[in-house]
Amino acid sequence: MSKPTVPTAVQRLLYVFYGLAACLVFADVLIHRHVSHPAESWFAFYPLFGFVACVVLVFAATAMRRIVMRPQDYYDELADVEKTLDEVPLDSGSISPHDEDRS
Amino acid sequence: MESAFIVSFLEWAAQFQTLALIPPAIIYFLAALTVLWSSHRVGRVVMFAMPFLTVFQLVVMVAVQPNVTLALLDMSLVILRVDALSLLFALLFNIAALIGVIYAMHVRDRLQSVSAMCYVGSALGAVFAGDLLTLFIFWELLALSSVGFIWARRQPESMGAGMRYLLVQVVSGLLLLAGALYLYGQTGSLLFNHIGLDGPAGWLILIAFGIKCGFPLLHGWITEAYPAATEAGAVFMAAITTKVAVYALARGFQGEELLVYIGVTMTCFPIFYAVIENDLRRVLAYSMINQLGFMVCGIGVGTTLAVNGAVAHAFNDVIFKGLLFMSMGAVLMQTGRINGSELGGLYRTMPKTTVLCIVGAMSISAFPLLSGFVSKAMIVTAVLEEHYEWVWLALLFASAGVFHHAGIKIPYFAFFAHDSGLRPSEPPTNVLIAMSIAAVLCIGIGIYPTLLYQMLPFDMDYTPYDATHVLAQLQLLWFSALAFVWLNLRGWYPPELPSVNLDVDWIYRKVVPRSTAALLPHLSKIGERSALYIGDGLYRIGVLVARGLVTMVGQTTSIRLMAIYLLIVLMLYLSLDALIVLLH
Repeated sequence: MSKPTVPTAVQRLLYVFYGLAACLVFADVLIHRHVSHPAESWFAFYPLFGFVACVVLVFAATAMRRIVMRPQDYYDELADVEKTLDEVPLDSGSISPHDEDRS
Repeated sequence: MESAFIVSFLEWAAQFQTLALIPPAIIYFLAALTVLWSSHRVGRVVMFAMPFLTVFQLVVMVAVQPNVTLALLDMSLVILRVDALSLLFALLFNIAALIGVIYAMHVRDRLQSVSAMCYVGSALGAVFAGDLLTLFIFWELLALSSVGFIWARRQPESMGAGMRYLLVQVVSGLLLLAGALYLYGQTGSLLFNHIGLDGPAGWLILIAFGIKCGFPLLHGWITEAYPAATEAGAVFMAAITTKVAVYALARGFQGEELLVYIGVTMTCFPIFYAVIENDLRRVLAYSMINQLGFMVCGIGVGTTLAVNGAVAHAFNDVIFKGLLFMSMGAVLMQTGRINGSELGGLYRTMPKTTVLCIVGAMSISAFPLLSGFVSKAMIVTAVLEEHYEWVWLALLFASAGVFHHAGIKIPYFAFFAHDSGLRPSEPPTNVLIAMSIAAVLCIGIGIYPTLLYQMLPFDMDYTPYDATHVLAQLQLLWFSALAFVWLNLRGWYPPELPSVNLDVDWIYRKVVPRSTAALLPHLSKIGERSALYIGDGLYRIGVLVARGLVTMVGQTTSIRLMAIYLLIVLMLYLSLDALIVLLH
């Protein structure tokens, strides 16, 4: 897949976005946390967790497509099953118990 | 000062005590009848007035605390059991009804209007039900009344989708009835209080609740029915059915540890599907299972904070998920499309819808100052307090994931991304008003959570806004967003593709019809042979059953539909018969 080109205005927004991300990581140093779990006190635990979780999520979901993805009309194909059923007569046709009775 | 005002207000309200004795369900059913027979204009006024009337009734109930019981045979049915939990859900469903009615104000469709009134009425009946038999009746009415929202779409596939929805829901009701009867046999009481998992009755009822709540492997109907409903229908359905189940779980299975693990599974697996799903309303359906997972988890943990958190999250979810369904409904309404692959760039001509959708998206992602944050934080904190460490990590993963698919994906692929060339106008004003009410509630509860906290069933001392929580949440979300940006810039984000993804509904939409068709020739052979000896009855039954199975789960024509309907009613009838026999 080719890399999408980014318009300048969006690029500027992205710089602001990256800047804020950096500030949030830096805030880890400034703000004292009241942690309930030891992992929370690791430096940049939440930013790393959020980033890695999402990358793993997206890669796993993309891989999942190979197994579960089907064409849009996948569930529309039942018409033929219905047709087969309609062709089966409700009366049992040639072999009928009534014939047996008569014979 | 404030409390003196409340006391005198309640004293004033208490003089209307007769009003508190009428079940709100009955009033909604009467409204449904009125809507059925009156002009659209009168119908609209009635529907708009209903939530206000019922909320006033709830106030009177707070003042007089009624307990209405009805004698049936030698049992007493508790029609109205009023406590903090039932009142909160009743208020919630009325807010949802008001928002839904305003959203659908421009729709001239009697089927949907009548369905809506019956549906909200049934939900209120269910949350006020003090015994399992009353609960069962409203449980089934919920199913019967909501299928109208799917049929009202009037697409070729609507009939089949509606039938499948109805079947799943009716099965849930029958399991509930079976469990209730079993419990009655054991304890001699039908009262609906804590049930627990001590015997088969508990398990039957848990599965019944689990179907409606979208437990893993029982969730197929959620992702099939919601995208199949009308724009307004999806808004009503998303607000009510699953939340009635959450209410029932909170009442009957609080503190069952199994629910923690069921809940955490529900938070995690749907987000993978949501990332690759193309139908944006189905993405929301998956994200609904994810949010339900948080609630189920909270109920399973069972501490005061956890259950309060679950209930508060149900409250907030109705509003922000409603807002998201409304905004996607608006897109569908204005463009006739809902697949991510066909949308994009709509912000140019639908800026208001875009902003409102983003408010909903930020709420569901639990951004600080928005409603999702104040309730999800309670559940996550409670999970950690009870030392479920792996569950906590999984919930963090799910929190990051929900931001990814509901928080970013929904607004991004609908309103931004590539330009689809579509230039739809904004939806009608009433639609924008309904979305704005939901958005104001999202922000209001987010900024001033006490508003919601004071209505919760248990007293607690909890403040979501401390530096630790806010910073942690912001970091988690910000870097999830960073991952989205990075993957997109690299071109690694999975593109929206016209496709369907296999899920559990594959079993009853594909495997069962196919295998029935494959078995049919053998079935008829067996039939033919037996016909020689027994008569052709068996053969006929064989063919009928096979046809019935295929039509039920596959495509449906109108005559067959009636046959299936009859079958369902018959099953209901038989089970009620069984009940009466058992009682004597």
